[in-house]
Amino acid sequence: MKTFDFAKEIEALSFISGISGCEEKTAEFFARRLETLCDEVKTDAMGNVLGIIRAESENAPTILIDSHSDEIGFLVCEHAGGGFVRLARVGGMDPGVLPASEVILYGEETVRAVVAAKPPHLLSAEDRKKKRKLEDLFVDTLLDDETCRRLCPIGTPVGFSDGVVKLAEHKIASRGLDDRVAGLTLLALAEALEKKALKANVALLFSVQEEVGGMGAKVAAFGLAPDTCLAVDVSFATFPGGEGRLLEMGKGAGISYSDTLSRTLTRDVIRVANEKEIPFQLLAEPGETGTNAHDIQVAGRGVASTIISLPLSYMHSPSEVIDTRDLESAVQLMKAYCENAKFFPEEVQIVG
Amino acid sequence: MNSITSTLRALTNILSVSGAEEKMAAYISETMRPLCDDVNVDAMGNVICKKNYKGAKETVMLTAHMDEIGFLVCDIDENGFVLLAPIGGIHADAAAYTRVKFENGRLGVLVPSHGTKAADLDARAFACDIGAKNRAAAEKLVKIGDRCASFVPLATLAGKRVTARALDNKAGVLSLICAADALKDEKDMPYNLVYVFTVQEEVGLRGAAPAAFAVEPDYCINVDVTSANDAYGAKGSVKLGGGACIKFKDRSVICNRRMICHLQECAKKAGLKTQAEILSMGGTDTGAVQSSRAGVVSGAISIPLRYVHSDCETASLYDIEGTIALLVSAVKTNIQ
Repeated sequence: MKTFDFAKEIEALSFISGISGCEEKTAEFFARRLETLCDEVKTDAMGNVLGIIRAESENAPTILIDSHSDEIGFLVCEHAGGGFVRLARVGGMDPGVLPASEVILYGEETVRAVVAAKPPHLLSAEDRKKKRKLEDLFVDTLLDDETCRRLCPIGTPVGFSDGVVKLAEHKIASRGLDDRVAGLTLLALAEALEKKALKANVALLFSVQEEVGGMGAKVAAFGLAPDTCLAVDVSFATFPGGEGRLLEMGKGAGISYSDTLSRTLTRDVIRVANEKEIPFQLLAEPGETGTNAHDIQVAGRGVASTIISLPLSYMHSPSEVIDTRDLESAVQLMKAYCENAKFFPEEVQIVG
Repeated sequence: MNSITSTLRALTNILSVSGAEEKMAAYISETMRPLCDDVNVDAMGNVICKKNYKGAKETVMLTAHMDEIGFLVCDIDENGFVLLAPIGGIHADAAAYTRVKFENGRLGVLVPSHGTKAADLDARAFACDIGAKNRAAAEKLVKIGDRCASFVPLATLAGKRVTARALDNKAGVLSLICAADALKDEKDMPYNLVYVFTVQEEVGLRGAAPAAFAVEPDYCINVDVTSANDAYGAKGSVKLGGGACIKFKDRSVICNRRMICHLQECAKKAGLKTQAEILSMGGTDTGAVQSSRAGVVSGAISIPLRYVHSDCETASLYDIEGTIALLVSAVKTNIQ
């Protein structure tokens, strides 16, 4: 199996923006790469990219593997004069990570800017206690007012600074790893799959607008009507002060049980992982799980769905951190599932 | 068919926490197979049972959710306590210090953190003591992702009343099974029937929508429970033993007036005592089905229940019998 250079690919992606609703460039990156790897590649009305690798037999069932191509960010919502702009949130975000960070405005031209921050010397005792709100923050484009309005009109998408930082032991920090590293695992999977070994069609989805409600995956799954679905998304890795059961970096992808997902499918994925001795970490996530699996499960006449989780630290910040070994084991796990899946309800034994 | 009480006892003895309804699905499939033409389990686990009648063109879908509230094992601590997350609307005060059963038969007691005051009880912060002395011992008995729930068996009270765990919604499931039994040999029926036993109602009405999408019914009647307002200290009009309730609205749905009127007419003709239900808390599968595809004319029959989402849910067999009779009458009569 040819090795997939995750570090290199992550770096390339870090320079491509994909703020929810403005995923065209990310979508194009994935669509182009899929062309030589899939039997069919299509982009739908919402911007979802779907690549299909067909099994040789005609009536084969279909496995959908979802990743979302969008990332959190902002939109310019107001010009405050003097080259300063205010931001509206796109996706979940703690404004506390923003002051003094570098941002990029993807306007008529790409404009690099900084989020204005009061130096600590000037903070009053009251300022220090206050929780930062997005409404109180300004981006300083360092342009004159007229140029700022022309280059970065209202609605301009804004993201954190690009590039990557390579850290110790297979770890990389960058913006937007959620969930575009999952997209990379799908590319790696497409490269690794051997068509002859497939008893099911494999549909690779790069869905839009997950961070703002899962709308992309919902319509894509409806259109495809697959038999099972693995939604690949990032999940919280352990950190000092983290409570509850969290994933550990470098120990493999997470497989989740949930009340709102398919236990039959989760068990089937675990069976494959055990049979093929692929490392994984077991999680139980009650409720909506915050992933596309939640929406895909109830799309159309229902799709047996579960989650493959990639451990990630510092989610929704300018420095999300991932361990490339976890991406590699996720690819192994998905490949093994695609080649060995059993399909509900005939083949999978219902057990206590 | 067995008696209503013995079937209800069997149903309440099966654990079917949301997302883990397989055993219940297996029991229902087996029971429904002789009563229908075709029984299937879909990708989500919904049991879909079709019964066609000669000459009938339109389809009535009858639904009842077969999942129940409970807990999901999320972690095990170093002292062997099993850490749980609530599934569905758990009442922390009702759940504290009760016994629970896991799907593998293992028993445990549900406890809040030592010294928690009654007012501070939080269902998200319960642990289960299964008797294990440490993490390693507990991991041999219970696994992450397992479910547990109360297992108080059914008991018969005075005046045709019963108390049990999970009567929400095993009483509804029972009603559909009994209706199917009563209708199995009918010849002159205006509608084809599809009985659907749904999954994941307690976690957001998730099973019913895909099932309705697949079935494409013309009409839907959902059967679920509703809060009886004559519980100790409660206020309102719905009474235990007052008959089946015809739903006007809950938080998920405003029932179609055509279906409300149809149910009222059928009850009148059959001489059944009914009550009007307007539920201010909680939703039902009725809402999920009504908004499927281009819309489904939908209504619901509700069984009054005291102490909903507790170990001691209490219902009247009189109301359950009324629900069954109303269901049977409603699908035998043309909907105007």
